[in-house]
Amino acid sequence: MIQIRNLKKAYGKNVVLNDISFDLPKGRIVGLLGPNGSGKTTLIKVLAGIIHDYEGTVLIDNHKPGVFTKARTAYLPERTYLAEWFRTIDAIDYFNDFFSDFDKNKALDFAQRFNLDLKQKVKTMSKGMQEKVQLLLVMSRAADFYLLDEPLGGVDPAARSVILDIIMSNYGDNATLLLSTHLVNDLEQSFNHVLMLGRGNILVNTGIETIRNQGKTLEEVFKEVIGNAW
Amino acid sequence: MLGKLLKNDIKSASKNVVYIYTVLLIALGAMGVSLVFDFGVGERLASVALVAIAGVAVLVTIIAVFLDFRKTMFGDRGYLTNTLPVSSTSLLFSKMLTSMLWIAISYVVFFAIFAGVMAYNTEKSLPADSEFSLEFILEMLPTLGIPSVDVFKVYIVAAAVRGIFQIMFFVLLVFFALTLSMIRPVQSLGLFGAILAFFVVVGLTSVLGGYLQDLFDLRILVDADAAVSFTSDIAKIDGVEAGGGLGLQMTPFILQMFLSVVLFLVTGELLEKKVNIK
Repeated sequence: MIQIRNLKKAYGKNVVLNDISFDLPKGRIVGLLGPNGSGKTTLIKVLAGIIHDYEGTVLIDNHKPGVFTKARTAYLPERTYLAEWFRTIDAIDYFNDFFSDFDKNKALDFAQRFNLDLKQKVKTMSKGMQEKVQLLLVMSRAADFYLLDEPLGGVDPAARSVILDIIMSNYGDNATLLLSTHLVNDLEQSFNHVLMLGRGNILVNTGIETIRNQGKTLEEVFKEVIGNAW
Repeated sequence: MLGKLLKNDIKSASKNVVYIYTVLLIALGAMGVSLVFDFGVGERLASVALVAIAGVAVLVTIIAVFLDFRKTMFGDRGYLTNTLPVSSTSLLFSKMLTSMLWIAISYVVFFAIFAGVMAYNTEKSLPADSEFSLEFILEMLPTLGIPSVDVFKVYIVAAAVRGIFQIMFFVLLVFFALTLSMIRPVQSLGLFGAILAFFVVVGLTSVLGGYLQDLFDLRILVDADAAVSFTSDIAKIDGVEAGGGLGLQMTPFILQMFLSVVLFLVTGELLEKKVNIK
């Protein structure tokens, strides 16, 4: 379970997360939505344990982000974090070295499904291919928490459904998946919870059923709420 | 986990230094060819080039290991490094050992090449019918008031051990400076902040080291019989050095060791609590 209390993070005078509090129980697929600069990436980075100087309390299974939580959290950043000289197989071996929940066979299987050459170097790949490599690494882990920052950002629409299928069919029932995106329409059917951020504040924190019961689509709520906040 | 970190860090750093050592190997090959075919001018040029390239290799290695630290900790690759399930001190320790290893290798290669070229050229410069050999000259050193080869050997071992720990201090100092440059308000100065922090610590260490040495001048002494002892007795130091022995200053070195521990702990703490990966 993720528990956040009075989380505040500022870069100089620019407040990115403004005293936010929320809980995310296990087994949820959470859509993290919001316009650029709303604090989505910062929130994910705090949870991933790569931003340290924040105010407030952040607990993942009752632990502050650190060695314990990193062993249970699979993080996909919005940028390429693999060494240029890595080949796909090197990246797979690297994850296999460090993460005990990593399934190498699953990763090799994904590589085949993505038509990735195991011996191709990361630096010679397109942005979309690099994202696929990173996605296969993350989704080959049996983690308790998945933090995916814009996983569909750089891939073409044809590959999007394959990637989405891989994401949705490869995390455990008790795992929590937090996925930030601008592609509200593509992912509406996948989420069962939504967090909308705007100007560092939580504007919406609700189950998708609640939205549907109001007779609205996620996109309509997004436009309504974000439009007001922006 | 430390073993896995070391394996990957050594591999990563090797990718950055592989080119300069390839050039060095080619230069060694060129010198070998010039020896076999006895090209007069080519041989001399190859000697100079070899020493120069080995010197450049030291410099390139030092730059490469620190660039690798910056890239893997604070660049895009930091997103992976800093989300591994290992503590910041483990990361730091692994990168410290890796950097020390590569820098030490570059020094060893440089000194080996320098000594090899010097010995070769000295031997070559002696007339063919000369009764003097390099070994003979070295044996004669003590009679000229110069420490013997045995004294030099022990001194070099002591200096090498001290040198390894000085490399550690240097590595940790640069790591500290680079880490500090990722934290507000130093962050706004960029790399200049790291350079500033580096020279501030170097300046303070130098001043403090000098002051401590005036108070207590501890040395390792290697006497004419190549026996090793520690002393701060100035009369004894002068006596041993005048009698064909050698002394190695230890007071600033002890300060550096103490500061190495402080730098390691402070850098680990900064990585754990203050650094944000952009």
